[in-house]
Formats: sequence, C-alpha cells, structure tokens
Amino acid sequence: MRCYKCDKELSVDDFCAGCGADVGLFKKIVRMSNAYYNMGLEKVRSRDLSGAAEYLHGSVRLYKKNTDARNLLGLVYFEMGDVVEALSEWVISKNIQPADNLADHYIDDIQNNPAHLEVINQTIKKYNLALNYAQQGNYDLALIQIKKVLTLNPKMIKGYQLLALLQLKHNEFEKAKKTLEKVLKIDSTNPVAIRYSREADLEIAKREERTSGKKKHKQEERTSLNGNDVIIPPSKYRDLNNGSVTIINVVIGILIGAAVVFFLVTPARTKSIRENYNALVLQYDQDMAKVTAEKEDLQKQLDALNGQVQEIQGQTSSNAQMQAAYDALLQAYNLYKSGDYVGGADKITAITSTDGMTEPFMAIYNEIHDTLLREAASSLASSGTAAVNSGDYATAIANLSKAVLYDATNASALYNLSKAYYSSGDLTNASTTANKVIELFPGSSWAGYAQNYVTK
Amino acid sequence: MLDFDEEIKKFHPSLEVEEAEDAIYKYNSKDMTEVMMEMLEEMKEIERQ
Repeated sequence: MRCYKCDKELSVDDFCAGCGADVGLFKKIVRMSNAYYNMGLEKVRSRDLSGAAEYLHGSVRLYKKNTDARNLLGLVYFEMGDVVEALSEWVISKNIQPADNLADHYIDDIQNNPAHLEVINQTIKKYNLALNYAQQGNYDLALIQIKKVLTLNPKMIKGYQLLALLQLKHNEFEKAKKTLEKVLKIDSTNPVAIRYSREADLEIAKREERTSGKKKHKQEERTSLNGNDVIIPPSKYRDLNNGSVTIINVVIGILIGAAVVFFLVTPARTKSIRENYNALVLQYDQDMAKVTAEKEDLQKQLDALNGQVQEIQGQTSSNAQMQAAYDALLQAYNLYKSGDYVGGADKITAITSTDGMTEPFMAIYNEIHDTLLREAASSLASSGTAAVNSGDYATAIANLSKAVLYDATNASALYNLSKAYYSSGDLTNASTTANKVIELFPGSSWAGYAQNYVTK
Repeated sequence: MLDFDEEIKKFHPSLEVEEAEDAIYKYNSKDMTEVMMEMLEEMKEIERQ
C-alpha cells in the first residue's frame, strides 16, 4: 500500500513516513476495497457473474487503484459478452499500473487478433440494431437479428435476454425457457434471466391449467332444460367406447400383428435363414471337395511311396535271395564234390530262381545240376525200393517221392512209389501215382504192373 | 405477465469498439479514497480557519 499523497510505501503506522499525511482512514478504505474484491472473486468462482460484477465494481469505486479488482471485473465483463466494457477496464488498469499488470496480456490477446475484434464489433452493431427493431415494434426483424448475433457471440448475455423477452412476447414460453437456461449456464444468478424464467414458468403453468380445465369443463358441463329447449332424440348410433370393445380391439390388433409377422416378417426371416444355410452348405461342399482332393492326392503319394517301398523291399529280397542262392550253390558244389548227391540235390533244388545270377554262378549251376539230380534220383530210388521191399513204407514213400521229383523219367521209382502207397494203405495216392505211371510210360511193363494199384 | 415495453426500456445499446476510447476518457477517476481525503482536507481547512 502506498501513500495517496506522495506515493511512498506505507508502514503499519497511521501516518505516512514520507509526507506525514494521516492515512488511517485511507488504509481502512483500501482494506474494504480488498474485502469487496475477495467477495467478488468468490462469486466468480461459483459462476455468479452478476454478483461478482457488483462487488468488483464496488471495490474499484472504493479504491480505483485496485488493479486486481479491475482486471477481474474486465474478465467478468468479457465472459458476459461485453467485450468493449472489458477492454475499457483493462486499459484503465494499465494506465493506473503500467508495469507488471495482467491487463497487458488480456489486451494483447484481443488486439493481436484483429479479425476477431472485427467480429466482436459486428456483433455489437447487430445487437444494437436488434434492440432498435424491438423498441420500434419490428419484433420479427429483431428476432432474426438477435439470433445472428448469438451465433457470432454465444456468450452475449444481454443478447439472450433480449431474445428471451421477444420469445415471451410471442408466447413462445418453452423457447424462452431454453434461452434463459443458456444465460444461467454462463451467469448462474443473473437476475433478469431468473425473473424471465419465472414468468415463463407461470405462463406455462397457466396454459396447462387452462388445457386441463377445458377438458374437465367439457366433461362436467350440464345445462338444465327450460321450456324453450328442443329435445332432439338421440341417434341410433352407439358410441362403442367401453371396456369390452377396447379389449376386442386389442385382441384384433394382436391378431393383425401376428398375421403381419406370419405373412411378412417370417417369410423374409425364413428366406434369410435359408440363404444362410445354403451358403453354409455350399461352403461345406467346397471344403469337402477340397479335403477330398487333398485326400486323393495324399493317397496317390502314399501309393507311390508304397511302390517305392515295395521296390526297395523287392530289391532287398532279391538281394537276399541271390545271397541264399549263392550259398546253396556253394554247398551243393561241395556236396557234389564229396559224392553226397542226395544232399547236393537238396541244396541245388533250394535255388528257386537263377534270374540275375552271374555267369560264373550259372556255369557251376549248369555243370552240377543235372548230375546231382540224376544221381540223387537214382540213389533215392534204390533206397526207396529197398524200403518198400523191407516193409518200411514211410521211408520208401519219402525217398521215392524225392526220386520222382528229381527225375520224372524214372518209371521204376514212380511204380514203386505207387506200390508203397498201396502197401501202406493209401489207396488214393496209390491210384493217382499208378495212373501217372500208365500215362507217362504207356505200353511199358511198369504200366502193366501199375494197373494193379489203380482203384476203379 | 411481464410488461414488454417497460422491460425493453431497461436494455441499453452496447458500446462499440470505436466508442471505447471516449468511455475511457470520460471515466470518473475519483474513487472513495480520494473523496474521503478531500473531505478530510476540507475539514482540516475549516478547523484551521
């Protein structure tokens, strides 16, 4: 706080240390100004702009150099849409306190945007024009203008107030209420908005009362008859406005609704479901076809692989067979050399195939094969015959069977085989073998002898 | 019911930007402190006399 005379900083004393002026009362007034400022600030925080403007105005009236109050007052005016009033306060504030003043920032904000300033100016001009129209009774023009203003400056409280007043004039009470709600959003205790809003509520209530009152009045009205009244007989038309008819109407309505659903809604729904189903089936078929194709492809691959496996197995088997054949030939050769023709014949007959064998193999094979078989057959035939004669038919059959296997031209061995079967009681094989003798060696003595063992 | 004519009289035209300068210049720069101080000075003057 500074002295009002010499502008020196004041101390706690009630006189100025610089010029000696009595500053007791001055200090009280300044404190009161600050108190008003604080109250104004509280009002601003609770969005009571009208109340805030009063307190802040009071604050600067008490002490004009309260720049805080003046700056805040400018902000309040700005928020209420009074831009020029706001600018005025800030300019005055800046004049009082040129340095370190928030008003600089506010003024720069507006002046640095000349287009916006021009828009503000236009809205003010249009507002004044609208007010002029309203005062002259051109309410429609006033309405049009004021609506334009509020589009450009949606915070202009007095613009809303004028619009609400015009709407009330036109008995548009609901619209007026909505307009006033916008004011109260900006300034929660705006006295004009509250007053107009109460008026609108009253008028709305009155209208509702009149509307409901008219209905009651119609229902309750009864006029008494006098002698001049003409009695008109009631028409035969009966007003079917009773409960049972209502129920019947409801039932008919339900039936009609059900029919609509059944004939219109359900087919469409069914069609939709069917289409979805068909699409699913088609998709399924496509998927199945794809799966089947894949399966066939896999099967082909499997078959090919199996073929390869078999080929490999065949090759393996063939290799094993070849190895076995080589072993058998070697053994047969060794037995041939040792004179065991029967043993050698057994070995060499174990070689089932000579395909793919080498030349040396085939040379040895061919050299010993026929000899082995012939000699083995002869030996076996001898031993078999001896066994028949000695009554050892089992040995005889075994040896003679081998003998005829190795040498099918040995008639004696074949005959003795049939004899051995016959003697052992096996008449069937005896007959079969005897027929073979007759067939293979017709006209021979063996054929004659074999006749004895043919079963007729 | 509101009296429209009475209500409309309460509305005043807004200051336009061009008019702001005049408004600032016409601003009554005396506040309460100045008035009080003037009154005190006058009272002291009277007492001296």
